[in-house]
Amino acid sequence: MTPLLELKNVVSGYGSIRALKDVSATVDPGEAVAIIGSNGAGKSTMLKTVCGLVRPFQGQIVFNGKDITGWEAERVAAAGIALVPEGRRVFPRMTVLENLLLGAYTRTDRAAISEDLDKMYDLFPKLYELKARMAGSLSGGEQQMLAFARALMSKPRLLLLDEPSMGLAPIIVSQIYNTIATIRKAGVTIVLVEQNAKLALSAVDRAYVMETGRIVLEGRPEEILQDQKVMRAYLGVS
Amino acid sequence: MGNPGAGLCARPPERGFPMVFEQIINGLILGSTYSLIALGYTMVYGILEMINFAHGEIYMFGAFTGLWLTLTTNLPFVATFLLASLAAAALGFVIERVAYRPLRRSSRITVLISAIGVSIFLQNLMLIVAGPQTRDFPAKLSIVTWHLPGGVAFTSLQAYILLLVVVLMAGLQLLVQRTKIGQAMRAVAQDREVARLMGIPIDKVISFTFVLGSGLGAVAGIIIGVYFNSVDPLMGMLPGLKGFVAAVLGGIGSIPGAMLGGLILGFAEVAGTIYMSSYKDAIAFCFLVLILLIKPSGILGRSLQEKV
Repeated sequence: MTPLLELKNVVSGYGSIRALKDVSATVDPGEAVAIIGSNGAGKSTMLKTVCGLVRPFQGQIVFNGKDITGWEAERVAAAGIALVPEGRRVFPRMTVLENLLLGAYTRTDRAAISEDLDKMYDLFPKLYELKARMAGSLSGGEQQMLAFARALMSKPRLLLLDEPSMGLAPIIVSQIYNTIATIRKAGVTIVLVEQNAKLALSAVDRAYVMETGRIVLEGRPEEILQDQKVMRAYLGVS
Repeated sequence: MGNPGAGLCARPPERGFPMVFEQIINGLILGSTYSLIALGYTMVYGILEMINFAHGEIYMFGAFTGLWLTLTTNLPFVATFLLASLAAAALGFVIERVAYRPLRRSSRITVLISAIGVSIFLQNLMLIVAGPQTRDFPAKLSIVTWHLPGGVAFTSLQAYILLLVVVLMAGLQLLVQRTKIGQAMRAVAQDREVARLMGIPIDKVISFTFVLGSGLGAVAGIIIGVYFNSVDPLMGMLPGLKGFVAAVLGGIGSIPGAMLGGLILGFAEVAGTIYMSSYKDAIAFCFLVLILLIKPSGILGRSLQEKV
């Protein structure tokens, strides 16, 4: 199978700092892949490099058969990659509805947009109740739902999730992971970045383990979970 | 001489209600031009967090282009007005492209210096092209004066100006709140990085903001040029600074704030003209000092902590 996303020897970072050192990885269509590793391992940088917020120094990124290396973020978004950013980052002084419509900014099919809006309200009934509220006044869990729905409004081929559980209460986290399962069933390809390795591994088909800018292990969740040495060394799980 | 307040004392003030009425109209007109200028500052600040100190020169350029079109063509005044505003909008577009965009990743002070450089450049360019003298602005308008009961006079020019400003402000609100480009502007102002993730072409949004703000600034320049019948190459300096003060007063980054700040400043200045006319220009800067001491975020501005 041709991968939907492929990173080939990508080196990336900020200024003179190299946060990614020679990373190669693939994501197949319909697959859910987790990237796990401790704080500062380069997980978020990897997502930001894929979606064009960080420009790679070297290497190549291929999405859906197209070389998207060095594309601007707005162009990558239009090509079908959506990111749910760390810390949710909803537009605080805009209503829930306005946030959702901004998710569909690159689309011009009005009828389909309003259909998808209804789908989002089905998936997250709470957002329908809150649609006229300012996004900044929502709770953390509600904002996370909104950030998911906003990303889905672009009809992405590939959905990147950056630490979706961060800073949320356990009950909200389990809701979020139920949502991820629902989105997967709808056929959206997912790359999930998490510090909480066990949680992430429970939700995906395959995972990469990162350590200081490199991928040190790749495998199915059960293989990684069985590797006690890896779990202890790289993920701080005893 | 080109500064707006100069004309305010041109007519000997009448006593009593007619004078008060006339000063209210003057305050409204002066204030709404400050508002128009302040909108340009505040929108650019909202999106780029920079102060476009060349904005006063765009105002001046608008007035000069309007004058030039009036003198060299037979176009009706409405067309002159529109073309001059478009020319100034184009100038705003070019300035952003040439002087600010290459510095997008530089420190803020670098961009600020570039803006001041553009300002000085445009002033001196106009001094060379047009000469330093103050010119009349013989607008092709038939102005009617209405005499209302109680000795109150009101001209059709004043009515046109106020109507135009109301239409522009309402139009701007509609644009920013209801249209796709307006939503994109607000999104870029609130979180530039995430706006890019939504596929919003931020360079286009930034260009559009400069075009819009410059057009509004030029409208203010033409209004002042016609109303006080005076245009000169340095006419943008003081109104430019005062428009900036109005933007800070209302809360920089806030569009309703810019409108409010301009009106407050206009009224304060007109009141100042009556009681202590030689200190008129100091009033704006007293406001700046006071607002920075008491509420630096401005009347309608958000405090910085809120900006997560």
